[in-house]
Amino acid sequence: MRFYTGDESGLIKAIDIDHNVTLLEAQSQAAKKAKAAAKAKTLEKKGDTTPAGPAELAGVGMRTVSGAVSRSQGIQHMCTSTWATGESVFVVGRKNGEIEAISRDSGQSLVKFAEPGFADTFSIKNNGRLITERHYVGVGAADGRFVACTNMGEVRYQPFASADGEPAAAAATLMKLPMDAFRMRVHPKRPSVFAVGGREQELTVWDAETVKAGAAEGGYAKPSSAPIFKSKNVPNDNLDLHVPVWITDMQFTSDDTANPTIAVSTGYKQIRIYDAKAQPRPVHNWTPSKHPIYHIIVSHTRPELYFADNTGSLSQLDLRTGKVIGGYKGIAGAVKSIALSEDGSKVAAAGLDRYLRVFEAGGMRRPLHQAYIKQRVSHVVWDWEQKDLGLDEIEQKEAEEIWEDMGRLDQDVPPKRRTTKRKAAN
Amino acid sequence: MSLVSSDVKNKVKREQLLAKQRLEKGKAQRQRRKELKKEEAANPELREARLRENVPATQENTREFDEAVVAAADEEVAQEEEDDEFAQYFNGQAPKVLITTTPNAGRHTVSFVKELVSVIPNIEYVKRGKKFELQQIIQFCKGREYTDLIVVTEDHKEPTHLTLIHLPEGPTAHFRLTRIKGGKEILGHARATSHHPELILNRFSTRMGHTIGRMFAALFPQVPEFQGRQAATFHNQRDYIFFRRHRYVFKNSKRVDLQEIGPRFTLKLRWLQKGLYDPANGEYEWIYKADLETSRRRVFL
Repeated sequence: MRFYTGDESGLIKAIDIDHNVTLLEAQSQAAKKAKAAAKAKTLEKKGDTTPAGPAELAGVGMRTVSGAVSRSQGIQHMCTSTWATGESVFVVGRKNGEIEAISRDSGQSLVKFAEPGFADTFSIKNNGRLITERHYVGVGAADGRFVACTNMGEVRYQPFASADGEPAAAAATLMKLPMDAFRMRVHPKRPSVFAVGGREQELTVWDAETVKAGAAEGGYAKPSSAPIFKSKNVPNDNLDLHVPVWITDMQFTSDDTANPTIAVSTGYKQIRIYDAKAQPRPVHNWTPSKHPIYHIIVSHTRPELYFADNTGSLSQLDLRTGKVIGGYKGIAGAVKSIALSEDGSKVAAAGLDRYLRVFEAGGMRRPLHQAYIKQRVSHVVWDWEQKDLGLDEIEQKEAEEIWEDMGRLDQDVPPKRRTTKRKAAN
Repeated sequence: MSLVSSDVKNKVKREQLLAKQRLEKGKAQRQRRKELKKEEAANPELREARLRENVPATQENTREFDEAVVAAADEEVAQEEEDDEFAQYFNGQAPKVLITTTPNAGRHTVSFVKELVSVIPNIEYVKRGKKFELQQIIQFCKGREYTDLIVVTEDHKEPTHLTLIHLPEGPTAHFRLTRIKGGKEILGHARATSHHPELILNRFSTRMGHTIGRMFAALFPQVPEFQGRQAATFHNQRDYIFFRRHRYVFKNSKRVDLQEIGPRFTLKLRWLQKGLYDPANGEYEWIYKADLETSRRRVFL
């Protein structure tokens, strides 16, 4: 299985994990190797216990696809896209405001765009807090265009490279949404459709293709057309007080973009499901967590949702009943990104504890694999093109390759077969 | 052994047999050691071989394999550390520390705080009032350009926790404080001077250990005053960080004498948070959870 991680130092790394090597096996092999190396070291120099080379678990291979260590170029958001030429590309939003498209296979930077407003320093009081910097809250891309949203509500929908040779920024759609946006996510099937939410900012779903907003010359302007969907807060609580709103993450749960259904996590420990066809108020409102929920992912195979909070608790929620199925143990630091395998049977989580961990989704929720990433990971992508082959499938593949490599026999003269005619011995 | 003690049914006889076997075992052991000494005096290579092979297993050397342990020549970690939250300190910024307590601190806590004030140069103690929340105090410190804020938590009239907040945007570490012994309680203690001490950071091996070690380093001025002959030590062993402060003197070129100044205390990391102090909503880089304790041989720093 292959993963790509984007981290806070601006690196994109590819991690290959051999699914046949169990965690226990890998750890015991590594322990033996480390012990042997330590023993060899004591022969030369006593007292120095630092290991000489980087330690790695068996079955785990890691390499840097692109980037150099630099905090200001830290990757805040990452998404995958396919170029017109067919190559797979990562679109990353960096801390210094750059949007960059990087080829997955060669690691080269294909397009780079720098958002001008990131260098400003300011201090705005909002919702009892001070906002002092701009950062991206979401990046999405497809069909040669990207959508990026900052925490000040500035949404940019722009083609990567313009056809006429004019700078791409000239063909951009610029939207100004209320500030203190916390998260923006694009629809997986139609990336021009995106949802935004934040602190005291209700969930709104827009279509960047059809919205009437500012053009490149005018700068960011408030959209004059209505959003596809705008959510409404839950009713006041039992003291008739406004229930605070803090949307931390959202996921589209259906393919419908005209009447989207969205799962939303809040910083007040809630998971809410919105259905645009039914009502603007949430259809379901659950409080499954003890800590603010910061990341969610909806399973594409089962009616389940995985949510992660700020303390490294990853849990699985049944979307039909709203009950927590169980938690995934062993994660020490906040999870920043969750990814699922193609068949939905495995879940991978990576975050601030610098590890990428793979668990079996459901059942015993056992830890299957782990890889040390050395950096604080901000996004993980599970490469579904790398299939996990079982041992018999590998054998079959190898056998097929052998047959194909062999030369064909129909061109050669077939060996003479001995006929049954025999001259009778005279 | 010709006779196994479990064959003897009579308890008195059995005990006598065991005592005899124990004596003989001791005798055989002493005899072997005598012979070994003679052999090794003749052939020193044998001694070296024995010392090499015969290493007893301890909790330290049977530590569970941890990929997070930083290798000696790890470029990526070195590059990341050049640019991390402590880069300003390691590029010359002088530390300016503020220390305070939780409200209504009692006698023991304040005396511990005063000892810490004597340890760390360029530190200021401000009595905690009830007017401002910790979040506000952090903003004030940022505005007045402090580099670190230390909060000593008191519970049941004793200091129990230490929270170290590195200021501009830096990480917050929360420790459990135990085994506090003031300088006065140490027999034969020395008196501290105001010289900048030398800093010793021992055995911080993993990436997180590096972060914590650097946090401690950022409290002290970069250049120590060797004239003061004082050293402050943060020694990490199996996730417990022992703090000691000593005064040293060279008797001759081969011998150094140490005298402890105090205070003496032990810290254990409870959580490390990215960003400033925000236990409810902030993101944790590492937080102690019972299900992380998978084996006795596993440590995180």
